[in-house]
Amino acid sequence: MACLYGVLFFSNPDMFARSWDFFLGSLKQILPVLGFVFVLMVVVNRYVTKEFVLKHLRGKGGLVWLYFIVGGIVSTGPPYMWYPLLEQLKKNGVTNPQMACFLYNRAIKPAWLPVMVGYFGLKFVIVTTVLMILLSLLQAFIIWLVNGDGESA
Amino acid sequence: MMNSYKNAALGSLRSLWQAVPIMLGILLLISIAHALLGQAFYLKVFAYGRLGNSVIGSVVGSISSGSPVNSYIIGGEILKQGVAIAPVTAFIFAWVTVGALQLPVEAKYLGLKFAVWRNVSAFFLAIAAGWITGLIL
Repeated sequence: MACLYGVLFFSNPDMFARSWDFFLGSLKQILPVLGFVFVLMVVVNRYVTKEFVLKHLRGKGGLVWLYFIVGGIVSTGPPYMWYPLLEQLKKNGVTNPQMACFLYNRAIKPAWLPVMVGYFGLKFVIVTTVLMILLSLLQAFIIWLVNGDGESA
Repeated sequence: MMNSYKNAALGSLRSLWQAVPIMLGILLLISIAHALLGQAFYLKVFAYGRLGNSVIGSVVGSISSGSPVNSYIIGGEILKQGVAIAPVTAFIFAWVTVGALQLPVEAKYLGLKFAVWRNVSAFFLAIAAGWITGLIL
């Protein structure tokens, strides 16, 4: 990236200046928010461990669905890190719709919400968060229709 | 107790240490794209009405990968170019819920049928999310 900007600086100073101004403007928007992001990350990492999540992702009933939603929201790390865990949970009785609901809600990242608020505003974040939770349940229903509870292949 | 907070803080710092350089790289790329392409380019790409634009947003988001925060940054910058909220929302939803690149790994652990149906339904749900958000906001 440094090379690219270096080439731009010498070949097209006007474009370099416009790019750099745009970059600085965007950076000013994000940097102040990173402090909040760090604090939220510390809280999530301190209290929401894999063991905590796994302990609650069991059983049937409405409350368990809440745990899958909340579990997906607070789970951290890349998705492929959770696949082996979900495979294990599947062997212990977790259904396909429940796994789909968990994975869909992983899209909500509490620690990074301040960045989202900064770009899109609080109203957008509230609307999309609620929508995401509702759509996770709809996806669970779709998965149940086409895949049933336990068939995986 | 302090030890667990210290570990949580160190873990968080590690995550940020990995995420921030990528965020900065994306911002630098977007800044060049902004200077090179201008607003007219984005408006030409997203010129097909709320539903059509949501489809485009979902397609682009589905083939993208990386930390969700990068989708917020890219989406936010596209929004600043005058693109409507619907395709931006579809883009973000698809980025974070559709894992086209991760599909083989997901299929290996959770089953091919599950992985395919989860990703396909997530793609269409992203379009719906964009359309609905466009209606509400």
